[in-house]
Parts: sequence; C-alpha cells; structure tokens
Amino acid sequence: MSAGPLRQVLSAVEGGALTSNDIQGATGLSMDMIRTSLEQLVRMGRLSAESLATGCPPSGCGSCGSASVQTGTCSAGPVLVGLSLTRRAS
Amino acid sequence: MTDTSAPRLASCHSDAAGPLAAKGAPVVAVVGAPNVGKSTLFNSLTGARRQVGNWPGTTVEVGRAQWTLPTVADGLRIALLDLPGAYSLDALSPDEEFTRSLLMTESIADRPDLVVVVVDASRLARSLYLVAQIRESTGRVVVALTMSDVAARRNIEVDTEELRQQLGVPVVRVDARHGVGDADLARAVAESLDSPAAPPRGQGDVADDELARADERFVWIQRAIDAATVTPEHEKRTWSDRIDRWVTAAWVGPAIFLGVMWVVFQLTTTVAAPLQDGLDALFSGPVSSATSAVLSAVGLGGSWVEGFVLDGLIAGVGMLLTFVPLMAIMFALLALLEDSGYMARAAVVTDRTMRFIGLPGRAFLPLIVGFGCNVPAISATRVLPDARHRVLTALLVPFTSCSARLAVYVMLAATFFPDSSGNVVFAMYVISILFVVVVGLALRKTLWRTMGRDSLLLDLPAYQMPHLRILGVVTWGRLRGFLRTASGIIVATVAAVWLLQSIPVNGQGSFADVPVQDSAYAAGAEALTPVFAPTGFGNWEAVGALTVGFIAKEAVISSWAQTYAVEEPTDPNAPGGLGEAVQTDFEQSSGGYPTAAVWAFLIFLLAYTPCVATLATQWREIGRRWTLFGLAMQLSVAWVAAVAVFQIGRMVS
Repeated sequence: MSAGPLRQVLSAVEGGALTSNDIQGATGLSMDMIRTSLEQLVRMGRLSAESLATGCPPSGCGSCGSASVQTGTCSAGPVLVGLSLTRRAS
Repeated sequence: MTDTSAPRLASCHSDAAGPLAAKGAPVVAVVGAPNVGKSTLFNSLTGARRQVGNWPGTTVEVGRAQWTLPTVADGLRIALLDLPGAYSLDALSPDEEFTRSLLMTESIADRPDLVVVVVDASRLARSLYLVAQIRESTGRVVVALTMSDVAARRNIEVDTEELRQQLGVPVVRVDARHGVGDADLARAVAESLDSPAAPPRGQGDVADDELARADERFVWIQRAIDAATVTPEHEKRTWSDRIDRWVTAAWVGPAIFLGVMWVVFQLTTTVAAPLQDGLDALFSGPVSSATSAVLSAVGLGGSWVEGFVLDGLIAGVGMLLTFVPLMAIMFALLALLEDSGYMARAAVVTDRTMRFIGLPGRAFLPLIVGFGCNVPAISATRVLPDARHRVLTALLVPFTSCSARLAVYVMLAATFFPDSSGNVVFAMYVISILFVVVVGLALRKTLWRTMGRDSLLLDLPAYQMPHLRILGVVTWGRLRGFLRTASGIIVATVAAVWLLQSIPVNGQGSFADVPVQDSAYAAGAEALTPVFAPTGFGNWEAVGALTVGFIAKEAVISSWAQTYAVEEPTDPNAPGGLGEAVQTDFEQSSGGYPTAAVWAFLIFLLAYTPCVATLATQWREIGRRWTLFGLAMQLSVAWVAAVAVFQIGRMVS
C-alpha cells in the first residue's frame, strides 16, 4: 500500500520540513489534513511537542539585562511549538 | 493504546449514571472534538435541561438529559449523554480515556445504543478521525455536520449525501444556534435505532502496526473528503498563513528579517539620540556642578572623595545611564516583535541558518537568547540532547551580539558615523550572524565532522495584536536588568578603575593625585598596546577600556569616560566630550586612518569574550577545557578579524 497522509507527513518531517508550509509543499495535502496528521503523530508518540520560548529560559538569568523581574523569563508573545521526531527503538 | 485492563464504568443503561429517561429508553451519546458545537447541539436538542455531574466512580463530568424525538409518532424518549470533548480515541486525557472506555472497551450491552458524532464541516479531517475509530466498533453512528457557515466562508462545500455514502452512516447538516436540522437529526437517529446496525468498518489487511492502522484511517478520511467536498483550487489561507509564506521563505524570509532589524536599529538610534544628548548634558552639567558644590560645602572639595564621585561615579556610571532611553526604545521594539508573534518567524529563519552550519534546529533557541544576553543563552544550550551540539552552541553564543555591546556600538557610531549610525549598528548585528555562521562552519569542518542531524518542525502560532501592558512589563523588566548591572557590577568596576587610575607608577604624583597616563591603569594597558598596534587602536585608552570590558561590556564606556574625565577634569562643560577624545586617540594610533581603526575596534569588541559571567557559565555548562578553548578562540578570531579589517581598510582608504 502506498503511503497515506500520515506517513507522508511523517516522511516530510524526517526529510527536514521546518514548517507546515514546507510539509504542504512536499506532500500537496491540505493544511487541515497536515495539522490533523501532526496532532495524531504527537498522540502516537512519533513526534514530541514542546513549547519553545523565543526569549530567555527560566534559569540562568542571574546577571542578565534581559531577564524579567516577575517571571524570571524574558519571553513574550504567542507560544512557538516545536515538534521533534521521537527516537524509537528499531 | 488500548488498555484492556481498564476498570469497568457504570453502565450508561443503569440509573447509576443518574436519572435518565424512562427505564429501557435508548441511550444516545453525543461525541466530538472540543469547539465543534457539541454542547450547543446538545442544548438545542434537549432545551438546555441538562443535568451535569461526574460519571459514577470517575472525575469525568458528563451532561445528561432527556431528548424527545418529535418526529416519532408517540414521541420516543431518548437518554442523551454529552460526553467530554475528544479528538480521537487514542486517549491522552482522563476525559478521552472515559470516552474510549464507554464506546470501545465496555461490553456491547453497556455501550450507548447509538453515537452521534459532531463533525466540523470547516475542518473535516480533524473531526473524521474520531468517526473512523468509532465506526470500527459500531455501525450505529449518525454524523451531525456543524460549522457549515464557517466552511462556506472558506469556500468549502460539503456534499452530505456523498459524505454519507463514503462514511456508511447518515450525515445530517445542523445549525444548533438556530435550531436548523434538529428535526432531521431526530429522524436520522430514530431510523437508525429502528434499523439493523451497519457492520463496523474493517481495516482490511493492514499490518498489525499502530502507524499502519492510523494511516489507513487517514487514507479513508482523505478518500471521503476528496469525494464529498469541493474546495477552491487554491486552498483559502488565513492572513497569518499568507504572511508566513513570505516571512519564513528560504530567501525572502532572511531578507525581511534583516529589514525588520534595520528598522529597529534606525528607530532606536534616531529617536534616542536627542534624549541621550539631554541626559549627557544633565550629568556633565547640573549634576556634576551640584555634586561638586555639595562636596565643597562639606569640606571634601579637591579631595580624593570628590575625584572618585565626579571622575568615577558620575563620569562612569552617569555616562552609562545616558543609554537608558536607547535601551528602553530597543527593548520596547523587540517586545513588540515578540508579542505580535514575529519573533517566532525569526526563529524559523534562524533555524535554517543553524541547519546550514550543521547544528540541530533547536540550537536557534540559545542563539536568539544570546542577542539579549549571552549568560542565559549558554544555560539554554541544555535544550540540546547531544553533548557535542551543546559544546558547539555554547562556543558560538559569545559571537551573538548581546545588548550590552549595543551601547558601545551606538557611542562609536554616533561619533565616527553621525549620519549613518543606525546603519553601522545594524551592520554589527549582521556581522555577528556572519561570525556565528563562519566560526560554526569552521568548527564543524575541523572538530566535529560526524555530528548527527535532528529534525525539528516549528508549529507557528497565529499573529496577534500586541498588548500594551505586556510590552510595558517586558520592557521595564529588561530595562531594570540594565539598571541593575549599571548600579551593581559597573559601580564596582568604576571603583576598581578609579583605584588603579589613582595609584602612581610613573612621575611624581601621589595617590589620587596623579595624571592618569602615569597611573597603574595606564601602565598596565600600555604593556598590552603593542599587541594591538596592527589593529589601528593600539592606544592605552582603548586597550584599557577593552581590558575592563572583560568584566562587562558596559564597562568599556564607563572606563573610557573615567579616563577622559581624569585627563580633563577641570572643565566638564568643555566642547568635545568623550566622543571627540576617543576620535583624537584613534586618529593618532591609526596613523591617520581612524575609520578603519574604529571598524577594527568594533569587530574586536563584538568577537572577544563578552564578560566574566559568560565565562563562568561556560565553565559550568561545558567544562574548563572547552571554556579555555573558547576563550582562546574568541580572542584569536577577534584579533585576526580586527587586524584584517584595519589593514584592508587602510589600504582602500
């Protein structure tokens, strides 16, 4: 059986796709299908999702001029989510 | 994912689940993903007379109500359950686990008689996965299609009859907010309950593998969508997606990023300049005069205390404080970019650069943080799972131009390039990125040739309108950090520099009464000047400032200000000031090529060790050996680059 949408999306991520737009360019799938596939891959543990701060991390800000006083972090704005391939035992 | 040992739930056919319809009444469960209009439909069907409570033995909240089917002659009464929102039956949360148990793992007799799956017409793929899974266990399913108005706005047309054929179950279009389709849904449910159940959907000869089974469902979904929907030739994109096509594009994206940063630095330097001049005049004029008068009044006029306060604290720390407006404006602009969501796009651009030099995608995180401050950036290398990636990234972070270096750039740019200071500052940030790329590539080609790759997909959040309150809080938080540095480590550094400048080592002076060129400070710096002769800034004032800059980059300005205040202590209001004094020294040390020399100085400042705090953090994160290697590498790269810039600049001048 040829690869279905889920496998196509997984292959695109493995091939170095950086954004959903890249996946669409590689697979031709709709954005809805791509997002649903990514969610499913996270559910299945094939991808791991984590919030990525584009500002400071919560630690190590001791002498940092960029550190926020209240939260210990200088991040602001919408949260960027990173999806990484999960290493699986072969 | 299936857990066959899951505890049994109370049957939905018993009263244990709460008072339902008349005993023996059919039980119908309404399921669907969150935000597809499930509860709105439930309320519309039942007149909002629901009872809400935890399902017995669980903490899962389930809505229950009686639904009288008006389309049946004697008004068939249904026990309707509003199950928690679930994207799929691969349970991740207790709510989803409950839904999965009730629909999949309970005995047939204990399951609902029929399931109404609420499906979002504007996002069919997302909703149909749940349908696919439920259809594998039962044929008694009715699909309620919501959000048709949203789909229409996106030019998506859904053919319900075709969708029915593809899914093998009735599909009813509903608009619960206006009560449209309720009767059709009631009719479909009644007919389905009255007919033999359709056979469950089989998965054919799909391998017994989780990915293969899930992919088969996606193939099934894709086939249904292709057959039942008409979508525009070009998928209608949100404006956020349309912007992202450009700002994250491989070549246009970096150009837009550079353009945005250019605007940031132009605005920063242009708007801050008059405010900075005003503060400079304040510190060198009224503040110095008033302090001098007060010290004279208490009998300390002409003493070393007056020298320390006027030539040390006010000249050094005061000069640094004139950069507060500049920092405030830049922090506010960067906070604006962050809060709007643009910085997440900048992360994509940076990520591509990281991959180009062979670093894993997530290495962009510490490097972006590094443009604020190198110390937390090195701590942030912990996000990298591979030790070699961590070491390489920690060695590259010092080449990212932290905000402390900005003040020195601005001062020199305003002095030597008054008409294009913003461009010069912008150029320094571009050069900083080039340093990261070139040094990164060089290290990859020499030290770590077999470094592995790591995929990272970035799910970009939608853009949003920045919030003033957040901008204010973030800007103030960072500004307070700058002020804390100025009032802490810089005051201590100023005191140390003043002490060294007060100790005579040449001439006839005494403590606190010595020409600065005869002081221990000047003698120490003078010893290093031959090393910097090929760079064009081999004067002890500049070398002394760079040496003090090891402590913190802000100290370059404060120590320069102290040096020249001591040299010309008598008239703080004399024309010229710090910039002109620096210009004169560069003119002399470069043999008449001050422009080439100041570029060399800026390059050296950018590339050499950022501060002792960065070194300490490197020591902690990557160990002594790599820290010392990094220190030597930064000094070497800085010196070689500075010499190259000066020598080439001198030749082309």
